Amino acid sequence: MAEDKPPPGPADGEIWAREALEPDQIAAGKHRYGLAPLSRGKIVLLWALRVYVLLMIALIVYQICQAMRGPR
Amino acid sequence: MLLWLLIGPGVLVMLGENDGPSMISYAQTGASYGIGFFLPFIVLTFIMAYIVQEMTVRLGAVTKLGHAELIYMRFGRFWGFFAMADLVLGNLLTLVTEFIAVRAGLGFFGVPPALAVLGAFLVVGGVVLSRRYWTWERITLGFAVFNLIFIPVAIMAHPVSTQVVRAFFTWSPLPGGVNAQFVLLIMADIGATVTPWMLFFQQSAVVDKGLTAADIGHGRLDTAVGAVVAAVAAVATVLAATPLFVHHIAASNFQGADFAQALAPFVGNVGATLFAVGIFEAGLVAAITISSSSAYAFGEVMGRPHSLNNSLREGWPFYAALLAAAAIAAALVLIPNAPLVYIVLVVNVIATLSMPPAIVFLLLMVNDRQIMGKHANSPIENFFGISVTVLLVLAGLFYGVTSIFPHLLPT
Repeated sequence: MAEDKPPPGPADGEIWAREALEPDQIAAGKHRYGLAPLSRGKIVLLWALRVYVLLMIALIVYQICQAMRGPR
Repeated sequence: MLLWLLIGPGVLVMLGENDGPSMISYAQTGASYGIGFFLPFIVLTFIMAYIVQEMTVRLGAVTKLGHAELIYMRFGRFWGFFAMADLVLGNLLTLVTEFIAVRAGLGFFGVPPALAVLGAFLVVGGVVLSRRYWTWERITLGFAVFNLIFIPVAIMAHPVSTQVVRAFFTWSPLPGGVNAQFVLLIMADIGATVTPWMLFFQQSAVVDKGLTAADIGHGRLDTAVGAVVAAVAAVATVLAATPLFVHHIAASNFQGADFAQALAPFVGNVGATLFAVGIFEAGLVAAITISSSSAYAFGEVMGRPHSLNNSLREGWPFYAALLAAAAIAAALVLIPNAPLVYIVLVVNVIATLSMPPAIVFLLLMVNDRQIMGKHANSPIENFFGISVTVLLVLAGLFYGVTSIFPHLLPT
């Protein structure tokens, strides 16, 4: 938001908030960033977590199949 | 006054995550374990949620970019795709459970499932089409206040105050010890508080609201207020369901309406009615926030306008994605004989398991001084952020090992 100027009254609060906040909502003002350099360690970490998620999802699918076969 | 104007994303994300499956998980916890270990544990999960969500406030306020678009921008399409795949799958499943909660809550009042689900979908659509972030946020906050309805129900359940105080100081008792049900509820209660959609939603909402680096302090306060209020509501839900534990009523297959009906002899008809309304409200608010989270991410990744301030003409892909996500989930809920309670618990487990990669992306971005400058994580913030990540990974691995080798746990 631009400034912290106090609102004149509760009834005008919403209008004041919009005026204060909405200039910062304009997408055109966004900065475009390039790709971040990823070290070998970070890439290994991301892959390890990806494998972790896939294994866990496989585990949940297995459990659902088990649960559907019979009472837990 | 300034806080009232700036409050929003933090409170919404925390009360939004006190959603249908979360409240049912808390009720299951109270019915299975009573007053004891889980009370402080649930508070701990909200501290974890605050640590994680505070980082999204800084990211959104400093970069003015949504979570999905920042991941794509900094890590490229390959890793961005994985992050989005986790989000889309998690959000769809979670949205399904929100409509399950709506259906269960209104089922207590005899509302037919199809009518309940259709009505909730129309409310989601109506709120979204207010076409102004500010209006949308205030309406949703108005609904979210009803999350506190669990507090009077807890009071009506007459919990023993000394037991409650002792539980917070001793993290005990834990009836039955560590067994398979305990592990499932641990995972479900973590997933009830710390989930990937919250990261995407709060960062995008911070941007849509227009907060800047100067507003980070208020954003933190907003998030802290949300965490405290949501934690109180969560603990209240556990306490409200405790009579079922005390009277040895098996609740393992209960849905929202079943809980309300089973609690009626202990909290009265008023308490049971409030409980059912609370489950309905939890599902409705989360349906609004989670479908918004999906739509924000869709718009950010596709490079389309993605703001609740867009006109229908300008932002139609955003609104279409939002309503489509809600419509698909609503339709899935109406499939006959679906194992709804099991779905609810599994969804929270999936949320917990998919959280570590999401937090690592978050930590990498919030430590990126090229985009964060002086607002990058401090060593102490990294300590807490990494601790949460390690805890989630360990909880997931514990769940995985005990699922494959259940004989390691006592039954």
